[in-house]
Amino acid sequence: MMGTGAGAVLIFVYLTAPFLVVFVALFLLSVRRGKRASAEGLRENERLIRAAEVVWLIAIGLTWTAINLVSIQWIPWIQAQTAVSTQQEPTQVVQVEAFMWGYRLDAYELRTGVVKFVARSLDAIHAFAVYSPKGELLATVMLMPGMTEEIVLELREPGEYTVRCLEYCGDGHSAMASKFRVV
Amino acid sequence: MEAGVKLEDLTRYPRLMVLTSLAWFLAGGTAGLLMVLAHATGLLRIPEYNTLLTFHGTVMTFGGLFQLMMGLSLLRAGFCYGKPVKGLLVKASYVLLNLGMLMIAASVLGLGVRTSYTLMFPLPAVGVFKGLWSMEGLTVFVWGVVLVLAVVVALYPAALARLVFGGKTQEALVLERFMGTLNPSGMAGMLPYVFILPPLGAAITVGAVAIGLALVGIVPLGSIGWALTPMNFNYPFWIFAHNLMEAMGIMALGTVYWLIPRYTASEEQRARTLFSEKLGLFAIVFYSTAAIMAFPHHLFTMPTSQPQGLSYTGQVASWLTGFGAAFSVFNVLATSYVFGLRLTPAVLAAMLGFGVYIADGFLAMQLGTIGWAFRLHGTYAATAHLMTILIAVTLIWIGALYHSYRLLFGRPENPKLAYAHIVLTAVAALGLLYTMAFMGSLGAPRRAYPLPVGSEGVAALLTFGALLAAGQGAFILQLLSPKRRAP
Ligand code: HEM
Ligand SMILES: [Cu+2]
Ligand SMILES: [Cu+2]
Repeated sequence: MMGTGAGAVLIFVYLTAPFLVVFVALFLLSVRRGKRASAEGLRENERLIRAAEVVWLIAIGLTWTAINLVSIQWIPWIQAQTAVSTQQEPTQVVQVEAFMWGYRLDAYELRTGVVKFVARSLDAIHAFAVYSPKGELLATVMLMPGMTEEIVLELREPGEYTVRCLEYCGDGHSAMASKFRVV
Repeated sequence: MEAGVKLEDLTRYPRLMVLTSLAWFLAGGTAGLLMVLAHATGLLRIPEYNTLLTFHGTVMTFGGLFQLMMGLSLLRAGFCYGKPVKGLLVKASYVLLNLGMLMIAASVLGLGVRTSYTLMFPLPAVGVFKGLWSMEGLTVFVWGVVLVLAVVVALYPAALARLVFGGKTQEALVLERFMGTLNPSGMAGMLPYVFILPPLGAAITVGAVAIGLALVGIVPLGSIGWALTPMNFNYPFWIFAHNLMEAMGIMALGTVYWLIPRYTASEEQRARTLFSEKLGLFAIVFYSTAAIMAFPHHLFTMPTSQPQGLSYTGQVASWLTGFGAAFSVFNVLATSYVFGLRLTPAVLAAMLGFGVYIADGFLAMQLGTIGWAFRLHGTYAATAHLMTILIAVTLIWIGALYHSYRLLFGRPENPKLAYAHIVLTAVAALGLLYTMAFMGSLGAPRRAYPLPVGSEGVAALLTFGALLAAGQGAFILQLLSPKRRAP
């Protein structure tokens, strides 16, 4: 679940809100210390500060490394490999054309399972973004004119999926959408 | 008298730039508020919204923030190295930037060019073929962009380099003494811009000039076809645009490095520098190096067309910039804590701007993570990051502005109004950041009106937008308040 947009934003809030609280607290503390300061200075606790430096950098190093490693499994082409290898059914392939301002799919009824979308744009930059029936953004793909993108998604839930454009493409951008059903 | 004339040599252009940037900020900010108001009420038609979006993005970034940075960084280089801020490069930077912005504004507001400020190439051209805007409008727009690029990529870095490296120091103009060119590290933060932007922006500038010449018929369109394939345009574009933001961010970090030690309470000589000058220099070099290779994060969501190796490099580089930032967090907080701080508007703005910058930086790294980018790219989460980094950098420069307020305007600032300005801006920045991130988590598409999903956030956007406006209101009161004589 951490790999979703909602998961990302939750992690963002959980990490940055405490950071900001501590940051502002240390700032206020520094101002208080400044008021008490005299020429002989405040340079006690040199050891403590060095320790804080080490702890902070280790914590950052661990967090950064952990996120980079964990996030590998959320990369669509890595997910595609595992999804295809655990499922026996033949991969469904859907051709998608995006244009100002709509989509043409060569199939609007799919079966649950692994689907390969082959998408391209006919005019400006568009996106091919798939939202699940519950409204979760499963993946967005940027379509640069002249290029063809392939993405493999595992569509587990039956229901109505929405396709939307997430790259600004002029006045029809907000309404540029389509739907397909998964049964 | 003699000294007074000379100080004017230092402050004339910076003051002009600061005041002109304020005018652009007000115009662009009004457009931002109108956009949110439209989301709340449905009052605007779609083309009108897209016009405001394009106006807001270009004006806030270049007319506003870039110009504010230009004025205050030139001023700082001037009074640290004791050189007047004048001459052809400075004048041309001021005139051409604003002329270019006026042309962009005219083509957007008057001629209907609404490409958003990232161009979305080939949208500018496709829009002409689809009749969304005219060839004339596009031509004015492109030449406006060329003028702005000339300043951003060449004239401003040249003017800055000339102040730092060229000419003779005039003792009467030295208001804050700096040792050497790189030391303290606060000054080193200016150099990545000077050295990185001209080479990385050259390609896109040449491309823009070629397109401009083709539009007026001087160069046949066919001969620049190579520059017009979307891939050939967008890679140089993002190498430039990404690194412009990074260089502006690093310069803002250098500003924090410069301001905080100036307001430490301890009288020790040591307190005129950072807790660790070495770590400061290291952070800037490290951050700049990592930043250069981070640009592929803008194109992660092309799973087939962007080589995977480039994507992985982009992800690792993006996270490495986060190490650079982590060094800075430690260094800035250690400086404040060890030497104690005197609370002033300059210090408050620099610190809060820095805090917002760092919090936003985490979202930036999330967007720079391949797995997450596929779920966040093109949503309001991306706008959350982009707008917050701009507001955070603005807030840091507001700190530099208060630092030099008396020098620029001949009287001390009213601290109450200054604190109101800063706190309201910081709170609004965080409010907009979390609200837009939340909308992104709902999958709300950016640059979309009306919002097909995620409109739950609009009321909060309106509230924080009003706070931000109130903060700027406090600053305008400050500027207009009757001149008190400097004690
Ligand atoms: C009055 C306060 C502000 C409000 C209410 C506001 C609101 C908005 C909104 C609603 C968007 C459009 C999001 C989208 O559709 O993609 C936006 C985009 C943007 N804002 Fe602001 N903003 C404000 C202040 C600022 C400031 C201070 C800056 C910069 C210093 C800024 C820079 C930008 C930029 C560059 C964009 C992107 C434009 C684009 O995507 O084409 N904004 N803002
Ligand atoms: Cu679109
Ligand atoms: Cu970037």
